[in-house]
This record gives sequence, structure tokens and C-alpha cells, in this order.
Amino acid sequence: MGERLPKGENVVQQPSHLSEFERLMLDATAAERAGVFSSTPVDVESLAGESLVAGPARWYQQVLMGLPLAACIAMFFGIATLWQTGSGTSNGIMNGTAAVSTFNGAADLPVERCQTLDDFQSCFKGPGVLVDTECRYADFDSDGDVDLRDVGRFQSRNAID
Amino acid sequence: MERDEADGGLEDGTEAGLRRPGGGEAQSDDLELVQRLRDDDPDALRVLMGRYDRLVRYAVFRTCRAECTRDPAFLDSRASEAWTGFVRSVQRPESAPPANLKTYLIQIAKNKCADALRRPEPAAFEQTGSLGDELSGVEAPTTASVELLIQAEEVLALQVCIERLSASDKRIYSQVEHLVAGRWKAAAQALRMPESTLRSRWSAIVARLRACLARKKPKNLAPPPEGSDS
Repeated sequence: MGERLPKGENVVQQPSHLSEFERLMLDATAAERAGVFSSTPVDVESLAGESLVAGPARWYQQVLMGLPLAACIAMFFGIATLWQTGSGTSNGIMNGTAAVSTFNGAADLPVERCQTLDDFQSCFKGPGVLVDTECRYADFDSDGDVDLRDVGRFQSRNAID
Repeated sequence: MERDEADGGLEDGTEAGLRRPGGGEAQSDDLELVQRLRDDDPDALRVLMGRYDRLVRYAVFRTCRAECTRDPAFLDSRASEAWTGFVRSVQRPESAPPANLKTYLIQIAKNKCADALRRPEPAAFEQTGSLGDELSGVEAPTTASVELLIQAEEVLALQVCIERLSASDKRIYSQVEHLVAGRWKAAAQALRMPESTLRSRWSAIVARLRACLARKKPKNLAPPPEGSDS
């Protein structure tokens, strides 16, 4: 399929006595007047940059695509670690309470109150919320509240244990 | 005598949207640019447009001459569609690089023009987005496309020569319709010039243009001798 126009369309009649060169001059003049020798308004940047089909990803695209994947993997391992820590510590502490009393050095605190992860969670109130003495054992950084910083310390200590 | 500057820096015809027909180096360069365009390089498209935009626009003009004359925006729209279609087609992963870029571009331009003529009026200037349609036939350029390419190369080369005329010669050339039709009196009146002077100057201009065009034909690509007049 090449020619789609009906034959005879858009043919401009020129006087027959003209020489080939004269026809060429008239053709060039008509083309010039129609704007043939102007530049086509095209947004080159966007046109050349917009691949309409999926091509091979560039390195920065691969990095950007990899970031969410890495975040998902990290989250998975984080949850798994927390799960193991929680269950392991609970079992361990349930079997022996001596190590628990050394969490924050407050040996005089009732150790039975911090034997499980559930106990710790009951004391978790968030940053800036002062906890009473029953939960001081969970205040690892001694700032008066039990927040994520304390959760982190709780987690690392139990993981070590 | 005026030195014909058309040859300086224009031997490869890049400013006119021309390439040497059959030039192996030019063709491989084109393919390299197409390959860069496939990798979303805007500079490659810029270079290709610098070379072939006039060719595309001339193909649109020759295919839809009446529409281009009637509506000045028609040519811009079709040429823009042609370039968009070209970029889309070469960026398709399964598409092979065009064997002859010039006839490939001409065919896309002709197809865009034909599509616009077939369209109903209100949608005449909308993008069709018909990827398959714009590509049909481009791999096997017709004889008409090749003929159009030959004509385009002559016209575009002549245009370069015309652009290199002096301002006063260009002023005379602006009456080309009268002059080639032998309407000397009308042309002389329009130019406010004695008819005899006009005749003499017109023959000199024609001779200059002929010489310039002859030098630009592929059979004679060698640079003109130093200091030669047109």
C-alpha cells in the first residue's frame, strides 16, 4: 500500500511551454510560499524521550524500581525478626527471669511485670507520655516515657539474649 | 561577478534537508542516528530533523498541495504527525531500521496526508494515533515515492541556490511567475525597473541558478574551484 490518493488529485497544471528548469523554479516558489522551507513545530525533547513501548530500563530506572523492592524485603525481615524476638524472648523470659531484671538495671522493679512482650506492649504509650513506676522497667533510656526508642532497645537486648 | 556561496558548507546538503543519494557514509550515519533515536536520544532526532524536515514537508506539500495552499496550518500539522509517526515506528522494539530513510520518511508523510484527506472535517487536525496505519507501506517504498524523492532533491537544492541569491536578485526572482510566463511588462512594472534591464538580469539569475544546481547534483559533488563564479 503506497499510493492512497486518487490519481489526478493535487496535480497542478503548468503551462506546457515551460522548460523543466522553469517548472522547477515555479515548484520551488510554490513550496516556499506554502511554508515548506520553514521548520516543523515539534517538541523534540518530549517526542524523542517518550518511548511508547517498554524498552530496556536504564540504570537509574532500575535503581528506582529496586528501592521499593528493597524496602519490602527489609520490612519482611524486620517483621520476621520481631516475631522471632517476641516469641523467643517470651519463652526465654518465662523460663528464667534473672536476665530481665537487668534490662535497665532496675533490679528493684517487679520483674514479673516485664517477662513478656505483651507486658512491654502494655507499657508502650508513645513519646512524651509519662509512665508510672510499674512501667519504669520498660523505660530503657530513662526519659520518662516508653516509646519506639525503648522498643528498639528492648528488641536488641532480647535478640542478643 | 558574484561568488556563489551555496557550495560553501552545503556540499552534503544538510541545510537543505538533502543527503547525497546512495552515499554509503551518509546512510550509515543515518542508521546510527536512528539507533540513537531508538534509545530516546533527542539530539539524534534534532539532527535527523535538521537533515530531512524539508524533505518531509515537501512530501506533504506535493501530496496535499491544494490543502497546503488553502490552509497554512495543514502543512505543519501533517509534518508534525509524520515526525511523530516516524519516532514511534523506529522506537518499536520489533521494527527493523529503515533500509532507505528518505523514502521511509516520504512514505510516512504521504500516508499522513492521505489519512488527513480521508478524515471528516472536524477531526482533520487531530492526531490519529493509528500506529499500524501510518506504517503500512513504508517498508516497500513505491516508485512514486522514489520519484517524489528525486523531485524533492532537485527542488530543495534549487531552494538553497535561491536563498543564496543577493537581495536585489531575490527581489527580481519574486516575480518568477511573470518572468517564466514571459510577462515582462508586468514584472518590470512591479519591480519599477526598465524591461531591458530586467530581461538581462533575469537571464543572469537563471544562469546562476542553473550553474548552482548543476554543482549540487550527485554526479558532480566535488567542491567548485577556488574563486569560481556562479
